[in-house]
Amino acid sequence: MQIIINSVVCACALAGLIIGVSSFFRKRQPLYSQLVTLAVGCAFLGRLYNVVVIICDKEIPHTFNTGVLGTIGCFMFIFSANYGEMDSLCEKKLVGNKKYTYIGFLAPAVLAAEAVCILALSRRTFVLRATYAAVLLFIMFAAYFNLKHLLIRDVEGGIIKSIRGYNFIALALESLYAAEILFDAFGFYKPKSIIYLLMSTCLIVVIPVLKKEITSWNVRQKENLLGGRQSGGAAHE
Amino acid sequence: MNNMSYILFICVTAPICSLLLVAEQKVRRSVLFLLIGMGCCLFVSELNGLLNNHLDVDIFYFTTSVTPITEELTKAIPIFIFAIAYSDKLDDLMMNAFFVGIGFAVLENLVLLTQNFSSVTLFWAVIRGFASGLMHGICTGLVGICISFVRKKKKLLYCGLFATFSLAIVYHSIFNSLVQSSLKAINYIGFALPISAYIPIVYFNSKRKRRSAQAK
Repeated sequence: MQIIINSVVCACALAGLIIGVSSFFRKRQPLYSQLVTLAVGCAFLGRLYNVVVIICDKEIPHTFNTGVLGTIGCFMFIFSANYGEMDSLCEKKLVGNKKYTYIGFLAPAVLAAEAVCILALSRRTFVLRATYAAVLLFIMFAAYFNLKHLLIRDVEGGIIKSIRGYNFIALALESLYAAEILFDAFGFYKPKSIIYLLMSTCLIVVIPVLKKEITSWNVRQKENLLGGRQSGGAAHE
Repeated sequence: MNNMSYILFICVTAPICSLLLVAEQKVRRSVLFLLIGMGCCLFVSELNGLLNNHLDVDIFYFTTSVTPITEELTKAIPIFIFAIAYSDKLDDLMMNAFFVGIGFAVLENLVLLTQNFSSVTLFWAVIRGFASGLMHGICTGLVGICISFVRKKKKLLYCGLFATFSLAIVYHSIFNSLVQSSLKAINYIGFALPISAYIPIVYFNSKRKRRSAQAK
């Protein structure tokens, strides 16, 4: 069962990666989308590691393993994309968006509570509990920006507003990873199949949704340019 | 680690070092990164030996969860320094990273050859050369490619770098798990993994170079 569900997640992540590479690794494509594609690539490799280890060693080791780094890498790429590429746009108009900065902290707060619960109450080994907490820490970074950008008002011609669908899916993915960790830490294995199913859906859908939303950037840019030219022309006359 | 590794290192690197003084700048840089890769291999074999003595884990876990981390981090350090100090161009970083990886693989293959001298076969040589050798090149090359993306902005650098290391470590770890499986069919999948990653890299790289040549 473990191998089937991990394979399904892995296949969906691979499909997302292929769509991302073919769509975004071209000239004049935004770095933001390339980083999100790399995040899906990390998720794919992390899951592939699980599949390979189950095949070779029968089960995923109940201690630190490098598959965890795939998950961490995934959320670090999402965090880098949001922090490095998008968040500077919000900072320019901080006055109106200040409250969303505080609301954004809700997501890391929930995840921090989960990490504390796992560290204090789980009966797993200390190394495993610490590994879970470390993964949750990286999910916290990514979740903060995704929640903030999901709620934020329009900035820079609607750049952030237009990728709300992507931010929602990314936030859902983060929640699902956090739920998987919670169930793993406390040994609830039955609801995990549903989580994996939803996770697969998120991984296969995230790139096409981002692609669709990013095309609206170009349309708006062109509209702005045309608008600028027309108004400039009128002023000249 | 025994003295043989040091002997091999000196025997291989000394003649290559003589190239450094006569070669042109671009060739010199490539040769230098090849030598750095060999130096990394020597350092990592010492480090892995120490860790193996101190960590109480089985060999499968050690080779799939510990050695990928030490090897990839050590190989990535020179590339990172190069990206910070000299150039963050994709071409430069990818080529130099490949040279570090290949240098690493060359010395590793030589050390393993001398350690298993009585049992090595032609098949072993093909596998070591085309699978393990290529895998080191691809992993480090991947780090070089990703650094060229994340180096563009200071805000992206540190988190992106960590994510990049994760990507390379997991890839390396998957390869090690596959080739150490007790099932023969799984071993062959492992041997094919680096080649299946190498072909698209070569294809996209040549396509990109052709496009940039046309643009010029």
